[in-house]
Amino acid sequence: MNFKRSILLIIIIAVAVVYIADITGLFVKPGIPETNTSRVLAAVEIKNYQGERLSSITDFRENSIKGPQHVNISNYRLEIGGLVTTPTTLTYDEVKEFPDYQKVVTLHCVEGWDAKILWQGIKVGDLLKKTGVSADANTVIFYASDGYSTSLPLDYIEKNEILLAYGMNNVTLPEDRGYPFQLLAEDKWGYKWIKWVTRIELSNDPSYRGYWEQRGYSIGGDTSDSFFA
Amino acid sequence: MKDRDVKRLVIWLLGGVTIVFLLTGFGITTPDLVTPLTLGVLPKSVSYRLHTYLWGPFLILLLLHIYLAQKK
Repeated sequence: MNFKRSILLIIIIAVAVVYIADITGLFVKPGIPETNTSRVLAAVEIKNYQGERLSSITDFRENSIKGPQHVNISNYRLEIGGLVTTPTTLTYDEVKEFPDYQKVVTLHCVEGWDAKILWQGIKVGDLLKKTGVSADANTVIFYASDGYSTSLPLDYIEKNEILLAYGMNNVTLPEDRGYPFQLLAEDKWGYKWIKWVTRIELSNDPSYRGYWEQRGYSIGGDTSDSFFA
Repeated sequence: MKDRDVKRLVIWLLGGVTIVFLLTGFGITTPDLVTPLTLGVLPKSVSYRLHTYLWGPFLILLLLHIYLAQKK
């Protein structure tokens, strides 16, 4: 066997090993403590709801801009500001004291996959009732701990009773899925489903462009339309 | 199995995997065209799942093809 062929054979074996490790999930993302991840919580999630087959919390693809965030819940604060009557800061427990709701909603990713989940959360509208909203506000901008942001019309949030989720399939939102809070932007493409939410800002600028919107995705983000602007 | 048969098998497998790899790639970027073209067999979600699994077989078969071609 000559040298060139030996090298090729080694590369073939290496590729095969990496491929098998990849499809069997042997690669563990670095930096995530294995306590509150989808890998751990999948063991206790529910699989069906009212006869409907649900996706698993492990069916999501990791496509965040800086990788999964670790939010220290004892320091965590959700800020609500901008065009509101009373700017407010809430702890994780204070947010969870609002009336809770649950609904089955499917996330459609621009990459082509989707996931149907039973989500638990509170209404964003209830948070805004507490802070009060200025008459000229028409847009809600959401910010995340990794620097991500996106916006949605205030009308859409109120009419569709949009939830800020803290649970999925009856388990606490895993860290790699957006713990402590992920927005359920129903009927919107996945890039509107912001994770690790830290700030909600009311604005009168409907043309605000978040992370992906600045890079060519539509501001509306409706799944009935193309995600390109 | 003779060497020639192995080479031929790898060529056919590589050809097949390459076509599916390309088709599923287009199934992700242009589902409006590929879904009806495949009579609904390859909607966007199926294309995505298949495409993410095909890089391994494609790369292994391609390297195997090069390896066998080196053989005198």
